[in-house]
Amino acid sequence: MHLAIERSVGNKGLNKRADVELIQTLLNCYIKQFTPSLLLVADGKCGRKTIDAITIYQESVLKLKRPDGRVDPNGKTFNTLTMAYKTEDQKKIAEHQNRLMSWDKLFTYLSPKIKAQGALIYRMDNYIDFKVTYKANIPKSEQLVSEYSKKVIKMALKDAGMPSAVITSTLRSPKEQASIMYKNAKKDYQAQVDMYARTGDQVLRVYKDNSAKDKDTVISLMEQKIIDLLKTNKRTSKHCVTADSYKKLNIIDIGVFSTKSVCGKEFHKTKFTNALKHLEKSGHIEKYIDETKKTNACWHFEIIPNKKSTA
Amino acid sequence: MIKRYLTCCLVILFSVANVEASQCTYQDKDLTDSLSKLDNVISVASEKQVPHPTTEKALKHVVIFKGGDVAIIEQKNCVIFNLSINMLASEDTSEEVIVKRLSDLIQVTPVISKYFENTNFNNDINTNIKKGNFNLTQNNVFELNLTDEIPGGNVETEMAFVYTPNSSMYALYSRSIAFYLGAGMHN
Repeated sequence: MHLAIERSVGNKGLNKRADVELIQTLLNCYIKQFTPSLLLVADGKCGRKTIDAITIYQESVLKLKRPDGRVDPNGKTFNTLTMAYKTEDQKKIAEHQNRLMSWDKLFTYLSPKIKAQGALIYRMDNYIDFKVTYKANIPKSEQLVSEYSKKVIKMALKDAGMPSAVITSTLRSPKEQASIMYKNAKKDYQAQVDMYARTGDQVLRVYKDNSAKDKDTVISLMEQKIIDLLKTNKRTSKHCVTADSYKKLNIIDIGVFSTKSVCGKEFHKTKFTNALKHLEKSGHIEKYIDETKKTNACWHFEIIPNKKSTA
Repeated sequence: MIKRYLTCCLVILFSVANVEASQCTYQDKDLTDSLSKLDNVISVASEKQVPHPTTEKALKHVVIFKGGDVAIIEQKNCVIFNLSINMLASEDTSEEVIVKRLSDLIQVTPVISKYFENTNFNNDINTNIKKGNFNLTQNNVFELNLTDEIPGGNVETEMAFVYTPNSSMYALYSRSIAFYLGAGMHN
């Protein structure tokens, strides 16, 4: 039994009734130790008192300098609130939520260890609310991200309290890679040389040596160079791999701007970044590279399909 | 008047230098001191290469080891880290010593503290040489693609180790080792 909330609770939260009730119950277990007379009514309604209680909890327990009065699914506040309880205790809280246990009885069972910290709790049984889509320009043949990887992305979305993510890059064929490099080199050759390592520079040299030729010929020559390099296991870009290798290792970019446009006010760049970092630590993500501040503005990560259980 | 002119020139000069430096995410680092402290290093010289219109700026250090082996370290750091090391070794230098010296040289460069702090290059390079059934006395060239074998911290990297023997009777050095490490590229 793992406690989980589906959506955010508190200030500007989505405040689903069941979620609010759980947070009120958890907060009461904490409040009860210090000011039993000020317990919240666990009615599933999020008003000023509940938000204030979250804020006080964030200030006094989490020591946040700028408490936001909000609990996000698997965020720091929720993590601390639930990690104070053992699985056995969580069962009791769930019973209370289901009206199978009274407050008095619940309190006699529970004695939360406020300082307890630990790994995030992920619940994978309900992801209907979260959407992972491809950017419109990604052809069907390149929409190869496995269901497992999508689930992992949804875990991050849930953690960040965001509803959607847009995949902006997956597999890239040598021809596409050559076209991108040609286009960029035409704009500013030296900037591209600066940006690529040795393998990329080899491809750019083909552009330079053949710049007098027509566009299609140059792209074709660059494509051939990329293929030759791939044969010696040298990749111009991490995305530029064969479909077979892609299926073994999903290489994914989630675009910052595309995701922001679908999430609207629920977009939280830092929270999503932190969620991906947590998933890297937990082994769900093989490698994570923060490219949100680079010109391509994306979260880049690699996932080995079915590596870990997501149940 | 001359004073004012000179001040003006200096201000412009510093501004230009600052703009150039601020455009680079990663800076080259003078390694003279740290290289001088390495085992068996007897001399270190450096040269900052002024960029030509078609080349990047580079900082080179030339290291001479006891016994005469030479290493050239080139940093071309700016948008990404670019580290190249070339070593010239005589036939008297053992494989263990070559890899140890190379690892020591790699270890003092700025890219390591940024992205490879917990990497043991000596161990990892030796392991990969053995894994490929290679050795540093063989008569033919070999190349190790270390990109996936020695992954860096949260960054895109490219890494290679190339061994080239030189059997010419006129050559001073019987082997050369080239090591390359790029880090921080876009994907």
